[in-house]
Amino acid sequence: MDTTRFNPRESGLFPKEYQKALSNISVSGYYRFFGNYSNMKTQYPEMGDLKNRLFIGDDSNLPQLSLNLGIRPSKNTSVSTDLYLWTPLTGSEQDYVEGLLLGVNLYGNHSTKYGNFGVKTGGIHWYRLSGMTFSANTGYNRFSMFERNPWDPNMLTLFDRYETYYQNGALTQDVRWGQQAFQGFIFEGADLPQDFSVAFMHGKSQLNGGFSTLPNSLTGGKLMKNFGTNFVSLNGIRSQTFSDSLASALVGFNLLTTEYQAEIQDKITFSGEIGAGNYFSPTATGTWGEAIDVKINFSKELTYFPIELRYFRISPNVINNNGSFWNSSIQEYNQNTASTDDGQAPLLFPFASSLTQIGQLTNNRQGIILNTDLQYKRVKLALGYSVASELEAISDRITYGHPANNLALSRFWRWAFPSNVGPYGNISKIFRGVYETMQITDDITTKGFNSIEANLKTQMKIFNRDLMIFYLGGFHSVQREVSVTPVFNKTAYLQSYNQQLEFYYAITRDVVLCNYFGYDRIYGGENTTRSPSNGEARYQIGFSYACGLDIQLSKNTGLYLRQRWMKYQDLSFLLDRYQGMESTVELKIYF
Amino acid sequence: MKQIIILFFVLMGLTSFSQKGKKVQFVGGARSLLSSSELQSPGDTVTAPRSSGGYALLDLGVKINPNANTEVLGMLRIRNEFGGFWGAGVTFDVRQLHVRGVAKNFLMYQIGNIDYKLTPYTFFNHNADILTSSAGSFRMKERVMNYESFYSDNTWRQQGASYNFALAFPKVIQRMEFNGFITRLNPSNFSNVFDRLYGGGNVIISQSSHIDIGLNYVSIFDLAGTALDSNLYRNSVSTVNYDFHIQVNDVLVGLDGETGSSRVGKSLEPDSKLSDYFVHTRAYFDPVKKPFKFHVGYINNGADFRSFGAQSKRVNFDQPNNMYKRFTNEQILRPVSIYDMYNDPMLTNTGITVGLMNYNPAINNVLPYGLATFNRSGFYAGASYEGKQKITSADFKSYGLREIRGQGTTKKKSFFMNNLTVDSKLAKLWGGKRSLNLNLGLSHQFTSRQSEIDFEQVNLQSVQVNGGLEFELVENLFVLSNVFILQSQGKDQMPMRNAQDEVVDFETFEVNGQDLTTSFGLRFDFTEDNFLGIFYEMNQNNFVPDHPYRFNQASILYVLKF
Repeated sequence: MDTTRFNPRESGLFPKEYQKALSNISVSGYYRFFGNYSNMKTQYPEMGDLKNRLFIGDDSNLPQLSLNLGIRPSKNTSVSTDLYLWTPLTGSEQDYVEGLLLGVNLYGNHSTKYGNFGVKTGGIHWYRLSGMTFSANTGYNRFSMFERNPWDPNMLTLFDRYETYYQNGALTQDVRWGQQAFQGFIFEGADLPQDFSVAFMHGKSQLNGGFSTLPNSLTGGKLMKNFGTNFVSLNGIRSQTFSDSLASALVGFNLLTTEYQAEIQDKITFSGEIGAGNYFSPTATGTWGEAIDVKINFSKELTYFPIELRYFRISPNVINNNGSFWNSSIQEYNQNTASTDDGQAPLLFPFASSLTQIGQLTNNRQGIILNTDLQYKRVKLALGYSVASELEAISDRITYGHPANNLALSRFWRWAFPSNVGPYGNISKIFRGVYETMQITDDITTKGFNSIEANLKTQMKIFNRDLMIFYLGGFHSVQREVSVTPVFNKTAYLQSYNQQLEFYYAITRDVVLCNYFGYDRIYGGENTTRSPSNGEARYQIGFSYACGLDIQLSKNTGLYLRQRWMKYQDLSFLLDRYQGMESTVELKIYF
Repeated sequence: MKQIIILFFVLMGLTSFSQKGKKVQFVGGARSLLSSSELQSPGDTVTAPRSSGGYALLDLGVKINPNANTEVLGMLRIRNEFGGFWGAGVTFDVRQLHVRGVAKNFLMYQIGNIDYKLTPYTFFNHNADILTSSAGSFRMKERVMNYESFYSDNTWRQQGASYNFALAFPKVIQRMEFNGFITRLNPSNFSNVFDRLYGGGNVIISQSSHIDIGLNYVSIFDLAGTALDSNLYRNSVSTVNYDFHIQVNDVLVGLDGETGSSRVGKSLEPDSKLSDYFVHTRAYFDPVKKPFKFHVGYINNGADFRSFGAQSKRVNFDQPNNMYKRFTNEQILRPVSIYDMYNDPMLTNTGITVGLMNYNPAINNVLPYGLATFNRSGFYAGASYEGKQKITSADFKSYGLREIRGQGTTKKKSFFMNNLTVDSKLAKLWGGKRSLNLNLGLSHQFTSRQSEIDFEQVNLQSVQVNGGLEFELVENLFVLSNVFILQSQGKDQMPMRNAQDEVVDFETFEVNGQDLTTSFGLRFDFTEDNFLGIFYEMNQNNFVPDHPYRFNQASILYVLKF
């Protein structure tokens, strides 16, 4: 609206009144220097003759300096952002990266007599809806402690990290643990009448990322009813995008589930998630399929040692790479939605028939998992056993990993996440790991998968100093048909055996000596691709020895040194071999 | 010698730049927008009909007070585009940087970004294209647009320096206030483009609480020697504005207005120089104890009056839309609609434009450059109402204007405009705890020129209706609904100007269209400045002959300010 006002005093500099300002904003974050030097005696031909590499930084722009800023405009609103700075120390003053990892996040909450309501908008929020709909798999905490993750926190004392893993079977993880990155709008209502709660989300997961104006979105919601510590929820998620520039060819999936937990007299707990989903595209029929993941936990009061019995069955028609299971049935989905923009690379999960750790579910598969934790004095043993089979014969490929040198191998390819690399074009890189693809040569069947995993932990004192010993073993097979026990002969498409042994010795309160032995052997079966040189199937042996020191420099400041010697060779596929060493230095300071 | 003059600076409510003596404080805001849109254009098989987008941004200003009389403010804008993960799509910009202070407790200065205005005819940011009060989703969007474009108090955001001081006298006059500024509109390219500056100021003489007189001068000028040229541009405006008022028997009676002259041209092109004057005066009557106020005014803005500090428009109608820039199978440019004006901050001007900007006659043909529109003379009258209970407030204004000089003919166009805004807080009628607000805005414009000759015939009529309803469902949660209609029909002859703003021809502007926006949604107010809005808008536009389109958009807007 225009105004008619000629008072001469209404002129000059504006605003004429004092503007209120905030006196404080919160600042926290960390500094993490990560340096890596490797010297390879033997490496893949595509790496050329340059066998020494010096690299400052970690994968995917994990920054050196991360500053978390928190601002509260009012008591029930806030905004946060995380500035990062990273320089690879190349000698150039212009060679640095600045940016935001999570972006600008806005929050608001409001309490009423009907419940507490909150909204989250803006940048990336770590979020979990339910296991199958929107979450990250947390597994059974059977992993090596030797290599530190970029997000691992500093503990009060160095040895607390290992003590926590010994006691709880897990690390104290940061906020991201078990959650997925989501960008958009989240609405939550908690403490509603009758102990109900609701959640609604609309925006993008990593798989919907990118700047195209064509709609590419993820929408989900949850209605939950609590019964004390038990609950039941209805969950739904829908992802959709378009495969053509005119936004007429819709591609995506739906998944509807119910998640529940019912504990009976502290002795038996029923939990799980049951639902149905479908995949739609111009070439797909959109048929719905079932998704079942149910568990019964027996407490040790009932069975002398705790037992978890788990059954899962996920139809090949159900896909959702934002949930706790992988898509191994519909290749089109991965191809259509995998963005290739810089910084947008999603965490690609193995396509095809994947050999996974126990607890990592995939679609087109059903199976039974048994888990137990045993303890005798200071010795703890976690055992897992699974048997599974595919529901439909779809893929003539099997994907699997190399546990002993997995992280070191992923550092062969920096920044990007290439697929089909390596001397035989069968290695694909994912975030902090690689997987290999193997072709089967007979007709496609509903393959069977068997796994046995053992995790042994013990602690003792030597020279009055704490010593922790962790062992991790995995014995897996993939074969033509379902089998009750792992198949340890050449009729199996794949046999994978891996052992990892770790020692952590507290020399002083501020210095911990770390040791690691890793060994894996992988055999291809008689009906798998043969070597062009000797006609034999895969026979892969990987070995790794590493040692290191954790040094507490001061409060919140840790220095972590690691030295690894590794050797790997496929005795059949002769180009598939490497040998060398890798040194890493990590300095991490939280503030 | 007696101290008869007291020196001081004028900034209301300001005794110190620092709150409670804090050296570092933080100001700014944050905002996120998520939207999904659909364009329906019959027969269009080329344009992608659906789109989505959004962003989140943080304006983080650090206000540093090295001492009680000095403030340094730097504001960084951090923005991430919707869809950018792990640092992709992030940009950093400087939104504001200034230093200000008070020297020797009397001279106030500010250097850097300054928000400035003088008078409606010299240096003023008229809002000429939004004639009705905004309601519903449009109100939320207008707040965002104003923040984005630095529109506040009718000021223009400039880069330069300003000063202010005042003298107080014991007799004859109460005080004299001095304002001055100098800003740069564009830098030299060290070849044929000069450094172009904008400077001026005013002296405000307050004789008493009844009489204020301002002497104003502004000038846009090229700085000699900064380019390989000697043909210097200058647009200078000198005016006097005044406000005389007195209260007689509970009636406040006043006379205010502004009059002055302008000159524009280049030093080596005497034929191109234009000069003219304007007169604008207004009488107002305010019966203090009555709910009504009245005013009548007279305008005579010369045909060659040019004051680009006051004639720059907010909306740049030559800027293509960012949203669905092209449509139809021929991929023609989609013209800027009134809906786009609320929707796209990239269409707005953030500074002064030297030269006449184009306007849309369907939106405002009567005063397209606000009160500073040239070539207009006539009268206007208005009334406003606000009841004691403040249940309803209303404002009405009616203009009857005429061209001073005919355009392409000796015949002159006539202009009529009626504007009405009504705001009602209906819940007060029954003492309701939850508010129910009704907003209504009406604007009617009519342009005519009677003649037997086809070229001279002008008959253009536009109507804008903006109605909004706001109901507080539960505390601080409002249900919103809004209807906005722009209808325009008729014909006018619009001047075509060359780069020197000289009329070189006329083109027929013919229109018969309607722009209708209907919206509904929710708004939750965390505080007065912090709100979350979720709304859906349906826009129909048939201004482009044979190419009507519908535009639907769902948005989630979250605005925080600190």
